[in-house]
Formats: sequence, structure tokens, C-alpha cells
Amino acid sequence: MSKGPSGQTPEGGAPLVGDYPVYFKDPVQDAMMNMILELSAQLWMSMDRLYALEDLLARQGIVTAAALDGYRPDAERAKALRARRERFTHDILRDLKSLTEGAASTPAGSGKE
Amino acid sequence: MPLMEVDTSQALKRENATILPELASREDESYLDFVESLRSFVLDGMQFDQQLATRTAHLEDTSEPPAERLEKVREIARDMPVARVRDRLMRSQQEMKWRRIVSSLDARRDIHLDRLKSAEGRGPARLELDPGFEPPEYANVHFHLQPDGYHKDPLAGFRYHYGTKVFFVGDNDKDQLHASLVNNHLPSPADGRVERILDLACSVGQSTTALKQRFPQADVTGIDHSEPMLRCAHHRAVELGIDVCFSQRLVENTGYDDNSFDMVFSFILFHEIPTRIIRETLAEVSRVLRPGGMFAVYDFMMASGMTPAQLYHRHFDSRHNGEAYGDDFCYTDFNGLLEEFGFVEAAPGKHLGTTQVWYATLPG
Ligand SMILES: C[S@@+](CC[C@H](N)C(=O)[O-])C[C@H]1O[C@@H](n2cnc3c(N)ncnc32)[C@H](O)[C@@H]1O
Repeated sequence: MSKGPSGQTPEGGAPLVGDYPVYFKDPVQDAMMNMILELSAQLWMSMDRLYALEDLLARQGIVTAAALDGYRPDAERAKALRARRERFTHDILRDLKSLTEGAASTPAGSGKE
Repeated sequence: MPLMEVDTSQALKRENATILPELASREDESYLDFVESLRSFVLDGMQFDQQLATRTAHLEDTSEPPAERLEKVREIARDMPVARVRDRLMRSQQEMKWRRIVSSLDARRDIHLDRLKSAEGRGPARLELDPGFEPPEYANVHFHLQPDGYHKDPLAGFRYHYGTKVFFVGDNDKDQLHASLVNNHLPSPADGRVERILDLACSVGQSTTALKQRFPQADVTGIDHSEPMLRCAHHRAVELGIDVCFSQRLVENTGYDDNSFDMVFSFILFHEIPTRIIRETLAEVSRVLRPGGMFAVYDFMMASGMTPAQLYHRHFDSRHNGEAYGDDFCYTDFNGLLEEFGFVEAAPGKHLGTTQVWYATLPG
């Protein structure tokens, strides 16, 4: 399965599953689950950030809700946002990539590990 | 059941603040907060253990060999879709955690390396590294899936420390668990003499410093084979201003004199070494501990006493979470081994959650 360090176990310990264990009947389901988890984590990150931001802004009386809605980034800012968005997308879709890179085809939880 | 069930409310009476590794951004902290909540959901919120327990009630009888009970439990779990989900989530939260910790620490790698460097040579804590040290082959395992394992990346100590913060789902953010073990669950030797203490496999030194705080007059040394762990432990103790020594040595071959310690402390070491090394380590402890000294072991509980759900989790942890030697320990008779190496019970053992505790001594 994997040539990664988790594929080998020195000194006769329990054999470890490989780097891309699959728990559902179809590896695509594993990838889907991971996408949902990653999405949730990313969503929480931005919710947390937003709460902090809104609180700080309101406390200092700097920005109104209307100003936020009317916001448009300048070119430099737009570029930075794009880089962030790309990392965001990559993080969420990462598992689809590993599917093509060598996901196991035997379900790890099927007892055939 | 939590890994460790201890009352931590009194444990922080003594001034004890941890130095958690600093992440690169608040975003990384929120991401890992989410992972911590996900972990807590998997352990507790989704109530998998209860669901498994109702299907495996007939396997509670611990007189049957644990390996046979495990096979039956796994067969039952195979038909439970929730078990697939639970396994997937357990593995995923671990992968998410490490990815984010590694990338966050790497984003400021130079700063972290400088930090470790600047602690070098500073007191009151001391650091003894062995320039010719070769880590043993059996240590080449990525325990708990930590990337590069315990010793192959200079930031392994920081990675491990933040990783265990998430592992303990926030219950050890200020070293409460270590403090509680040392302050509330560690008997002194019967004659009360505690001048030298050895902390076996000290990692980042959370119990080492707690031991020094409880026994300020004693000389406390933490040993580990991993240089990055020891550097991180030393840095942490310097920041906390605690006078302990960290030394690069093998638990099975410490190089210390016979009868030179009054107390030997070991927290979750034995399940991470092969059976051969467990035996060598017990022989070594029986050599360096003085007669009447205290040997305190806190580790995974024995499989013979596990509930069906605990057997299931033990198996998952061994195969899917890098605990390659977990079964070597849990399926052995540790009481029998202690006896074989000349130890006798110093105080009744007990369970703290799924952590089992042994207090042993050597007859005088
Ligand atoms: C799970 S950690 C121990 C946790 C630690 N006692 C604490 O309180 O956080 C396992 C540690 O054992 C160390 N270790 C494993 N085998 C060892 C050996 N043979 N000699 C010395 N240290 C060892 C590893 O480097 C790692 O830091």
C-alpha cells in the first residue's frame, strides 16, 4: 500500500495501516467525509475571525455594517485574498488528490488490513 | 472513558504554567480548536462506546482471553456503519491536527529554532546531550502519526507538545494532568527519603518540572532518547525557571550508578517500546532504584481488564494511530514482569480512566 514510514513497523510491533487508509466501501466516501471536516474547520476559522473582527470594530466604533457590505479590495489586497482562497480550496479538496495518488482499494475497516 | 480521569481542581495549587508552543496565527489556533472539538465529539459526543456496548454486552466477561474477545467485538463492529464513521473521524482528526501544527510551526521555523538555541547553556535547568548518540531502530515509528516521529525534526518537541494539548482535549493546557499525577497520585517511599528522582522518557518535561515542584529539595533528572524533545524540555524549564536536568539516555541503559535513585517515575512510556526493551528497562530500573525506593508507572491499562469498547479502541490505536507496540504492552502481564525483575507492590495499584497505575518497590 504505502512506502511511507507508517507502512513499516520495526521490532515486530503491530502492523500499521498505510498512509491512506480507507474506512468506507468506496474511497470516494472517505474523501467526501474529509472534505466536510475540512470545510467545517475552515468555516469555524473564519467565524472565529469574524466574531473577533466585528467585536473589535464595534468596540472602537470604526466600521458599520453598511461599510462592510460596500467593501471592495484594492488590487494588492485582491491578490492576497486569491492566495488565501487557493490554500482554502486546496485544503478542502486535498483528499481528492490523494485518491489519484494511491489511495488503498481495500477498506481498512473490512478486517483485511 | 477519558485516557485519564483525575481530579485536577487542586492540582494547580502550586504555581504551574505551561509554555505551549506559539502558533503562527490566531487562525491556526482556531483551526486546532475545531479539531479539538471534533476529537471530543468522536470520543464522547457521538456515543459510539455506548452503541458498541449494547451490542457487545455478552463479551463483558473478562475471564475469556482478551485477544479472543477482541475478534468477536471487531466482527460485531464490522456490521455497524457508525463504527466506520467513528474510525474515519478518529483518523481524520489526527491527520488534520498534525498537518496544521506542522505547517504553523514551519511558517516560523527560524524563530522556533532560535528560541531553542537561545535557551542553550541557560539555567537554572541543565541539558546534557550526547554527541555520539544513535537513536535505536525500534524508535523509528511515527507514534500517533506525528510527522517525522519523535526525533527526526528539530521541532519535534514543539509539535508533540501542541499535539498532546489537542490529544487531551484542553484538559492539560496548563499541565494539570501532570501536576495532578505528581501531586495527588504519587506516594513517597516508605522511609520518606527523596533526594534523587529519575523521570523516564520525559518528552517535553512536563512531569519532570512537576516533580521538582513537589520535591524542591530533590535532584530531578528527565531522560529521553530524542534530542528535539530534550531541547524543548530544557527551553520550557528555563522559561519556567525550574532547576531540573534533562539528559539524552536510553531508558534501558541509563548509565547511572546502582541504587542511585529514590524514585523512578514513568508516564506512558512502556506502551511505546517493544517487549524486549520493556524487559531491559525493568532490569535497568531494578538496578538504579535503591531498595525501598518508589517506582511509579502510569500507562495504558492491561487488555485483560478492558471492556469490549476499550479492546476495540486499543486495536484501532495500534494499527491506525501508529501505536506499534501498544499491544506488546497491553497484552502482556505487567504485574508478572514486575515480579520477575524483583519488584514488590509498594501501594495498591489503581485505574485513572483508562490509565493504569503501578506503585512498586525493591525489598531492602
Ligand atoms: C509518550 S512519550 C512519554 C510522555 C512523557 N512521559 C510525558 O509526560 O509527556 C514517549 C517518549 O519516550 C521516549 N522514548 C521512547 N523510547 C525510549 C528509550 N528507549 N529511551 C529513552 N526515551 C525513549 C520518546 O522519545 C518519547 O519522548
